[in-house]
Amino acid sequence: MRLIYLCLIALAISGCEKELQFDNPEFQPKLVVNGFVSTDSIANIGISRSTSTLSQPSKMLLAGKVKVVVLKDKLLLYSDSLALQNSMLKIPFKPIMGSHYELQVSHNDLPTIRATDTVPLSKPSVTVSALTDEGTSYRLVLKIRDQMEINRYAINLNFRGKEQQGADSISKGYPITFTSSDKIFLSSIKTIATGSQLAIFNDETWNGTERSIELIFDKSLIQYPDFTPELVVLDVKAISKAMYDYYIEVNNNTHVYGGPLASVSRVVGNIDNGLGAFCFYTESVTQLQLP
Amino acid sequence: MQRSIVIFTFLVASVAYGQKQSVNALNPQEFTGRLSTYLDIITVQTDVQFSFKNKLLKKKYISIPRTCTSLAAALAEIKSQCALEHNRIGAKSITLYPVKGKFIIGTVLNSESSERIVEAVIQIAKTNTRTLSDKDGNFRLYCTTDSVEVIVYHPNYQLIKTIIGVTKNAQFFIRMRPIGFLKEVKVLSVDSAKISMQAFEEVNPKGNQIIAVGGESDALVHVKLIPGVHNVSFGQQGLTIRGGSPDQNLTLLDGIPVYNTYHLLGLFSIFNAASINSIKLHKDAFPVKYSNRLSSVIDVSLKDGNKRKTKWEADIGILSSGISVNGPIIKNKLSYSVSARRTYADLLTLPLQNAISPNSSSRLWSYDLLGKIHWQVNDNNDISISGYNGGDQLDFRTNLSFDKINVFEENTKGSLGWRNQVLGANWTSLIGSRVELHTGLSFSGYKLRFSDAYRLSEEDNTIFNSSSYTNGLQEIRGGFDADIQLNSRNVFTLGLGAVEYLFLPFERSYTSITSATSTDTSLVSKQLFSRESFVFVENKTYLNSGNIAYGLRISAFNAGETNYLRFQPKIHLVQNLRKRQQLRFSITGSNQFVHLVPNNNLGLPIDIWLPVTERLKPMGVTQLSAKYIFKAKNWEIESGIFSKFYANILEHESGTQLLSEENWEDNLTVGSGRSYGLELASKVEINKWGGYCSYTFSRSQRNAAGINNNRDYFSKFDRPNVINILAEYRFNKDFKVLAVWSYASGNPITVPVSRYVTIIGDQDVIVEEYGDINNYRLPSTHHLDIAFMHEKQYKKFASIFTFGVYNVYNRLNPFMAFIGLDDNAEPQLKLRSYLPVLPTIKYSIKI
Repeated sequence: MRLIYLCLIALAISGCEKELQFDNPEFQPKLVVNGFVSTDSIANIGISRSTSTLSQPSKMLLAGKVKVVVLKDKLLLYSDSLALQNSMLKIPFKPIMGSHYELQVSHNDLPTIRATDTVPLSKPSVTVSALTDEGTSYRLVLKIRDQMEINRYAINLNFRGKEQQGADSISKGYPITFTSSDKIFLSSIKTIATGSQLAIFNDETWNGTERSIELIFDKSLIQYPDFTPELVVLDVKAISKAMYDYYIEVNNNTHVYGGPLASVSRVVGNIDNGLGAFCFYTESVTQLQLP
Repeated sequence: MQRSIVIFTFLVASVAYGQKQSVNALNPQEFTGRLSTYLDIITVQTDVQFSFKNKLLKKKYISIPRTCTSLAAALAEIKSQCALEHNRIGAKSITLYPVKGKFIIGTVLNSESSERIVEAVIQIAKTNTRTLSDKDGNFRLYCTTDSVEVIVYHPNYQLIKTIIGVTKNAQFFIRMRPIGFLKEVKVLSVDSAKISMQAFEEVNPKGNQIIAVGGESDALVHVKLIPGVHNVSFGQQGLTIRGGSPDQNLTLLDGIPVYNTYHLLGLFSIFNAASINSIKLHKDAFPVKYSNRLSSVIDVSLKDGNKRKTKWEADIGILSSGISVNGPIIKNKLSYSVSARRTYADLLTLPLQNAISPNSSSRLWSYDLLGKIHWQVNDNNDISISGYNGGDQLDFRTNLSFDKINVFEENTKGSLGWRNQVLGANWTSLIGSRVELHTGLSFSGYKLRFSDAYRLSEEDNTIFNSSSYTNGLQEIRGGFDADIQLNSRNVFTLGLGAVEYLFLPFERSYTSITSATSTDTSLVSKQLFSRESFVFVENKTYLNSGNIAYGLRISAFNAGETNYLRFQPKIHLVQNLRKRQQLRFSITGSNQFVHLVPNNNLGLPIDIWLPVTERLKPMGVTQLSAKYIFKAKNWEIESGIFSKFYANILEHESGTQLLSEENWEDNLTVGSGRSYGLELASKVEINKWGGYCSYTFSRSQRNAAGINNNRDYFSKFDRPNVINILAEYRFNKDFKVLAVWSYASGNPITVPVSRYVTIIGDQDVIVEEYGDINNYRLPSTHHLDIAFMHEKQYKKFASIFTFGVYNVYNRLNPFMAFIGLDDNAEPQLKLRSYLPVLPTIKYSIKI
């Protein structure tokens, strides 16, 4: 009897799928900007275009030349036609903290885009208190001293080591999936308790003070074939508001339409007439020897 | 001498009597016509002159039998038929004046259980004077005679005729016998269609036969067949009525609002049919008392409980089992009714989950507890206390343990639960024969709680972290209203009340315990208090050929430092036409001060109830509707049109997750809307066949600043064509088959217009770009459900076995759409569907 019942339940909840007809008259291709620019390097910006809903998108769909204009604090900084190399655009300027930049890009028939953002005022002040071996996992405790202005942060963890390729040994890095249940993440509902390679948070509850944060990552997650991990690279970024909002919008972009799980999560970004984001960050990178 | 005196006296008396007889005698003749004409005939034949006010005889007709051969008999007929009393002034003059009638007040009861019968038609025999019993089973009739013969009709009870002696301020109890208790019933010696003509009864399907998905006993399932009403869709809770959102429906349980009325993502309602006495859907001109919703009022009343003997009812089905008990606490005085139901898919699937994945499990279950105590204090007073507690719960957990360097155990636990709690008391008091006073006090609460917990245990170290999110609202409502029978034609209702709301929109707390530290923090906890107070008046005037109801509700709403005052008028006109036809017109204005924050998902119960604010003004609607009803003996049809104009409708502006947003107001935009449509319904009963069908054509449009370039667009509740067909065939008194076919056009959803790749951290992420909202319409939904029901009455109990099939032809009805890959690995828009063809099994037993 129980077996019959289980079969019925399984039948009821088993989903069936079929294809739907979908014409997309609204589609108009737009420029896509992936411009996440650090103050430590010259601007290296990805330029691509959007595809129709039922096409496979890529970040390398554009080639040829684009016309680029950059303004710094409303003054012309750069204006030229640049060739795209693997859909990347290298613009010869290095952002200065606290400055305001505007980017204009045009490419053939696609609408010309315009984007603005302000570089964060300072670099994140980060110190690492401990990286300890906890048996099956590592525990990393870091401290961030927050400045008085409103700040937003992103944390990445990577590990680097030597990978044996035949007789050669090359240096290689992998991102680390880490967990934390610190309230600093929960307060912005960007909990990473389920594991993430990127944590986004703000200083909503600790503005202007120092904050200790604990990250945990499992040893098994840094075990790759023929690879010997050596270093943990902690990358703490102070990100602009545009970048923070963009990350959250993308995170909320579900891929379900209709039904109770659907969410029309519009990713606005900061690109007029285009898609993606043009934004700045400062970063503090710390390398730690694995214990 | 004495003998002479006696003879003389006899002779004088005889002469005098003879003279009197000759003066008052009338020719034996039948007459039917105007009363004024008949008075002229009397004057000619008896030389008696009548005096009266001119308008007294206006539209008065009389029917005189041949046996009426005296003035006294004629005057008695005039009194009886035309409600005119007389006064003799001398031998040749009679003054006519209206009879001073009396109101009789009565209650219609179930003869088996002494429970009150709602919407029974009470008609004075041989007249067109009719009334309906209200939700307390009470009725009032104006009588001008010392006794009156009444016919009492209700489709589920044996029709009865009874004579009531009219005594001032006396209350009568009329007991009707349920048809289910009768072996062979021939009820319709009187034309029921004619009787129910003025009963304000619309063409609705029978409510006690239709089975919901899985055989669930769902009291609201028949409401979905009524034109203008449809499900949002599978997995999305609530009803859409005339293009409105589910939160625009006010669902009342014995007059107490219930904020979440569905279980298991909308599969069936919280109302277990075994406990429900009546359900009334108001979608045209609902009582002004409830004008604080835009779309409808669904008025559900619980059974009072059998006042004579204890009754049991139990059922077992695929999804749930339930039990219902009601009976007397003090015989004929105090009764109770209790029912409980729980779904058990979680219990039965647990072994399967353990076998497949022993380290993780999830459970989804729901429960209902309904109860009522009814105290008949005396003939004029009764008090009831109603309560409901129910909810749904989704729990999931994982458990991992390792034994490497140390013994290591990791547990995660999460839950999503929502609860409804309702408790209220109602006191109905009859004051004299003209006033019925209702006093009520109630509490209603709705709460959602999401929580997760993480525990990492080693030999000498434990880390425990948990977080929770709570959202909900509570309201305390009090008020009274009185129905006053002003005269034979007017019933006046007035009342006032107040509601205190407490909203808990965003309450979050976090706990973190390690071997070194322990913290417990509520990070954001904000409560909103609001108060609504209202006063309303309504008058219903009964005319010879219909009635007119008009009223006004004035509501004041306080939200923080903002106060709103709104006037909500109502006019409802009913005009009876010849040959059992009726026309109805209504115009109403309503406002809504409390609403679900429109999330982009369509109705998971994670939606948040919030009040209007300074920026988000009260939603409003003006509705115009007209309806034509025709009732024949075995069939009836209804045709109606409606048009609604919305103001200050809320729409979601961007894709931000509202759960995480303090500035939720900024994510909403205010717009206007319009809905209009045509509604048709028909019911037929011929011999062993019964049928009901309804068709709705309707459109629901919105316009909001910043959405779709300010152009009109169809709302997500727009489903232009909805068809429902119900057919029933009874093979014999034990066995019948029911078939229901439901069709609804697909509703608009929002599909992205393009895709692109962005970079988050070091990862490539595909992002979808949205253009206009509601830019794609899902395929239509339709399914055929068949149920075979075997009812058997045994000596001590009755049983009903139902076997059926849901979605007989296995239609893949839309649940959601997504972009998947086709056989050539090309992206395609795909539809996911649940609930394919499914058997339905249910067994009920009544003792």
